Amino acid sequence: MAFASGERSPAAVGDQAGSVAPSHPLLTGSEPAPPGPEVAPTLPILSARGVRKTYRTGAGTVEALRGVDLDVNPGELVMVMGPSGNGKTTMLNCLSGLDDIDAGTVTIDGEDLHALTDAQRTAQRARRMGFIFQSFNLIPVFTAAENVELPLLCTGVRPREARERAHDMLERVGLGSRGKHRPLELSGGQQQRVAIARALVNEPAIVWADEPTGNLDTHTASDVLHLMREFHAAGQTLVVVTHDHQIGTSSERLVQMIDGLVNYDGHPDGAPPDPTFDS
Amino acid sequence: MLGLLGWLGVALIAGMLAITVHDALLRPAFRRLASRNLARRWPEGSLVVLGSSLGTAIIAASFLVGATFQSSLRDDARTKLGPIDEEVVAVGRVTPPASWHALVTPPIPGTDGLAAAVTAPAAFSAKGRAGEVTRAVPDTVVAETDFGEGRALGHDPAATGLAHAGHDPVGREVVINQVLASKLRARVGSSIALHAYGQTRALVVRTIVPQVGLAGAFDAFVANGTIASMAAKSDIAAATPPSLVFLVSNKGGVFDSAGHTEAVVAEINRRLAGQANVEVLTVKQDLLRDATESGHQIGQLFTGVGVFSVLAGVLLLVNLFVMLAEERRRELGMARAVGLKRRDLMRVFALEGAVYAVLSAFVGALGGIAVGWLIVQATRRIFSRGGDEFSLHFSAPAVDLAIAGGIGLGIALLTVWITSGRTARMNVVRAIRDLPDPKVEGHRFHSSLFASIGVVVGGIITVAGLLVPIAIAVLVGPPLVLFSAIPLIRPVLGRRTTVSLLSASALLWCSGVFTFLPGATKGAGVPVFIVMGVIMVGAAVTLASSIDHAWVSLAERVSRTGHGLAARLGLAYPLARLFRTAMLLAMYSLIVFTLTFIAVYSQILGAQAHTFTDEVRAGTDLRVDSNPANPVTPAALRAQPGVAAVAPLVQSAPDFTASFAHTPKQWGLSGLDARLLASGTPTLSSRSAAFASDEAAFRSLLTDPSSIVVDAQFLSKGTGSQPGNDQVQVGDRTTAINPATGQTRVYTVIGIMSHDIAQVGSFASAESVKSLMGNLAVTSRFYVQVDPGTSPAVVAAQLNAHLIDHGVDAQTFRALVDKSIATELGFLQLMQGYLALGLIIGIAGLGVVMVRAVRERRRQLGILRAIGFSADTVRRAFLAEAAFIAAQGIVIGVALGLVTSYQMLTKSATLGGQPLPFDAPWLLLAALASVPFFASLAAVLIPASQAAAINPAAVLRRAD
Ligand SMILES: Nc1ncnc2c1ncn2[C@@H]1O[C@H](COP(=O)(O)OP(=O)(O)OP(=O)(O)O)[C@@H](O)[C@H]1O
Ligand SMILES: [Mg+2]
Repeated sequence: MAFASGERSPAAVGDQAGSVAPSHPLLTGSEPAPPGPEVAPTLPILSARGVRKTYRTGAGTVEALRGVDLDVNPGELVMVMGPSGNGKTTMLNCLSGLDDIDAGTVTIDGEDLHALTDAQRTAQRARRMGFIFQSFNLIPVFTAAENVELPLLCTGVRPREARERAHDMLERVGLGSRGKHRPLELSGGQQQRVAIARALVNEPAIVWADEPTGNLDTHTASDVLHLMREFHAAGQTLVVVTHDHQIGTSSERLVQMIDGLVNYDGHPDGAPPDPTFDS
Repeated sequence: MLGLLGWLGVALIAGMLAITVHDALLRPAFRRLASRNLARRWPEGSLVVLGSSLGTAIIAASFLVGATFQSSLRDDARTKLGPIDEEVVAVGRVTPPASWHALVTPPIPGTDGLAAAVTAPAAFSAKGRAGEVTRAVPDTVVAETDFGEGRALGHDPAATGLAHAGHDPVGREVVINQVLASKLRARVGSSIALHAYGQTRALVVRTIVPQVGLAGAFDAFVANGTIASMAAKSDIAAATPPSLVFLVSNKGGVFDSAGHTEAVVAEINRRLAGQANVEVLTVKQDLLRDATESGHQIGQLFTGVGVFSVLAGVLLLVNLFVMLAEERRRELGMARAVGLKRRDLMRVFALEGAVYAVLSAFVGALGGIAVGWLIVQATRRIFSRGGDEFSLHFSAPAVDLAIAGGIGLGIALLTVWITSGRTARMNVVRAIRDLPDPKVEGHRFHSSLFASIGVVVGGIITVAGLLVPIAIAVLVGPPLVLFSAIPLIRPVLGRRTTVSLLSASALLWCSGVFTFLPGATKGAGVPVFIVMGVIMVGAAVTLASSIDHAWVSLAERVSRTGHGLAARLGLAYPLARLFRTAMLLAMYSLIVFTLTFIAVYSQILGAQAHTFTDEVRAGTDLRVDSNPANPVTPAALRAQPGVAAVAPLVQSAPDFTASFAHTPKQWGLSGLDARLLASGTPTLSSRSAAFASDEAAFRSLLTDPSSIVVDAQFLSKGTGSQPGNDQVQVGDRTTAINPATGQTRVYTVIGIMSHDIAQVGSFASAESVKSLMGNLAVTSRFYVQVDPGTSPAVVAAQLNAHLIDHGVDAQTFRALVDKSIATELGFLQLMQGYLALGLIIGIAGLGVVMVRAVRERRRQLGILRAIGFSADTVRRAFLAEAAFIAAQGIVIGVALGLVTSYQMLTKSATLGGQPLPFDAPWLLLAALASVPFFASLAAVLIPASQAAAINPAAVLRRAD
């Protein structure tokens, strides 16, 4: 049993989410399938407990996360799916420390992420995390290589070494010859590959990807996915939010978010079909 | 008033506004698009309005300063003349001859009154109470006139100043104006003494009248016959005799009656035909013309210096609108994609921009009132420092405000239309995908054609400038050739090399031209140096932008140290947006350039007091003026304690004409004799080649009655504002006219004085002056040498106290020079203050641009924060960006300011007679460099903190 925590059981989730899909047969009682790669039992890299996040706007309050529990273990590729507006992005932001939370804890490497100062949390992100977004989000005034080396420079890697590692990384994502190009001179798929290179260059403990293929056509999307799989195969831990059913079910572990709660967490085969999924 | 260019501008503005108004009224779709953007982006919008209104404010302020000077000078028409338009002066008479009856009857057409007065120059003094010093006013005009007749002059007794003067003074009564009363500290019933023609009369103040009209033209009125009896008892051989003056009032009010002057003067001359010793003065017309001219000149001076501040405003405006357009690219691209025509798009954007433009013109004009008022307050202080009695009344005529607002509006609208055009020309796909436009390499043929034309025209200008010579052509020609050549050379050498090579060459040309072509650039005036500054700043900014790769590698080197991440990030943006960076750079450089220039000049001027004194004092220590109706004799002056030697000067003020000044202009003419030359001579800036020394030139005056030495501004309009051709040259001929007799003498200029701080005007031999000017020439001025070891200032004070009767006004040359320098330095300070406004615009502009930059880069900042850039690094990156721009601009500005002032002061005779030694106020320059630098950092603190405070999760979510 790779999961250290018994609390992350669908049963517990089901108690709270009963109103969402109470009659679903798979919602209660079923244990998740064991994780894919056969690794020695280890502590999770990241562990979230009872994470709540409420947005307050002029129009009222939105409870985006209503007590999320999640563990991410080394080497896992966690797919996150769920209907639009059900808190996937919010969870990513809260677990990675990009955003503050209202209740609960997020522990990364045994440290309570939200007890840290902003500067410490930023340093934690720089060292331990990588980010891939739907709309690439490269810095337009920097070249591809310069974009890739940014996280390294943040963590104090010597510039010469940073540049070398950035080039190696670009090589690995198949853009070895495009290092001197500005982002706007690259295609969407190429930009996303640069973004992947940037997310992975400092060998982060965990990579967060929010709909990384959302802006790409099917062909390019599968290229990018393939790339992420390669890294995963090499041992990289990734948490990927996706709307694409095929992608979502291509991993050993699928987390389903519904109404601010983890509705299902386990092998995709056991996941409840959801008519609202916009595959 | 507007001129061709002005009307073209009006037409252009009207055209642009007409289209906008049409669109606003008749194109609901345009209106909706534009108003939605306005409503949605009002915070940015108000920044744009605020930024661009600063430029308009500067323009409006210069106009108002000019208007204030003009109206204040014109006010002299009310306080010093009132109803008086012409004066018919008969020197040496106290009663009119019988033949003058014709002058009075029948009334002269176009006039509505005539009054006679007997006048004489006089001094007044008042003994203070026990222990108080005696107060003396050496230079007054005393008059006798029939108050009834005087009051009747014109139609408004109040305008004559005599409305409440009561009956004519009798016996020892005197009626004085307020100004004289306050100088003497006299009240009604006070005893005061009148000094004229070697006599002193004790008088009692009966009435004090306002200084207006006749009571401004004359300071004191005494009983009929007083002046004649004093003159009759005169034992002074040569003094200005009393004059009989007929005061003529034209029909119309105080300010609008001068129009009849030509006809009235013609009629007076006809009636006086054949009478000698009578002079007709068009006093009102002259005063108003001079007032308009000086007001205009001062306004121009401010506009000239203001140009740099205005340019800063314009650059800011362009920058803001370019940013606005860039921010809007995507959205505009969508609009195009859904079928909006290119022209339509331009007009939607122009509609939005026009709202900003109109608002900013309005706000700017209002702000101009505040700035103008501040300048006038400051100017007032400067004038009082120079000891002038001139008073400024702030005036803000609607016309001037409207014109200034119009200019601001025009510049803003033009910027709006040009940036709209640029935005509208974009490629739809590129805009939507937010791709940069490709570098325009097209239109090869056209650009080569224009380039060739530019090269040829530049060449012609250069050659013409060298041949004539015209300094400005020599200066402008080669840079024009170089910049025009860029498109021709670019294909061969590549953009970077070409641009940096050619802009560096232009820079070198400007900084060296005065050294290697001294002949061609000798006559260069201030405008030449302004143009030079602009070209150099342009070239330097171009050069700085073209070496962007050098900055990049510098940034990389900095970041290699491990601490340079913020610097790296800070440099990346300005280097990626070279056009916008160049705009900001130019804004800083231009103003710092001018400030440096003025600072250096002020420093050098301030250090010249000793030199200037030596150049004007002719080896003596004091300039002693005395009342021309009661001049002190050289012997009496010599007998005073502390006086070692006295050199008398015959004073007169004939009318002069010359080939460069056709209308006769009154100018000072001093007659000297060997006694002055015994101690030395004033220094000449140039003299006829026939003389080996200044002294030889002055000596020749004694033997040649047709030689003259003049000051550098001789008969020229204003002071140095019309350089070059207008100025007098050695060898020029000038005709001096005795205004009373009509007698003339042609003089040849044999030397030109370096300075005329002692206000001489011109020197000829005493004999020559006396024979031309007769009783209009009086020996009333003296250059005095004091005993060795005695303080000149002390002797001057003693002379002023002892010789009150003679209206003696003794001043040390050093004091005269100090006062003159103080006034000029004050003006320069004012200019610096004015430019500082421009600098504030620049700094505020940088702040505004950075605030917008934060908005523009929100998403990128979010991603940087996400991948591990600390808030602190982001903040420091913004500060580094501001520092990069400010430091570059300041360095360019200071360096070019030093180069230009060095050129101007040491290689040309633009200021003062001679090249001046160069010396820079290093401490002040250090402040000039560091204060704006840190102020820029301070201005960017707010946007930098905004950037640092960005919540990455929030901005990354937003899709815009
Ligand atoms: N900054 C915000 N202010 C207010 N409400 C917010 C904010 N961000 C998110 N929400 C709300 O929180 C809920 C969860 O949003 P979130 O973006 O996490 O959903 P999502 O599952 O990522 O959706 P999608 O699949 O469309 O990306 C939504 O109802 C959204 O409206
Ligand atoms: Mg989302």
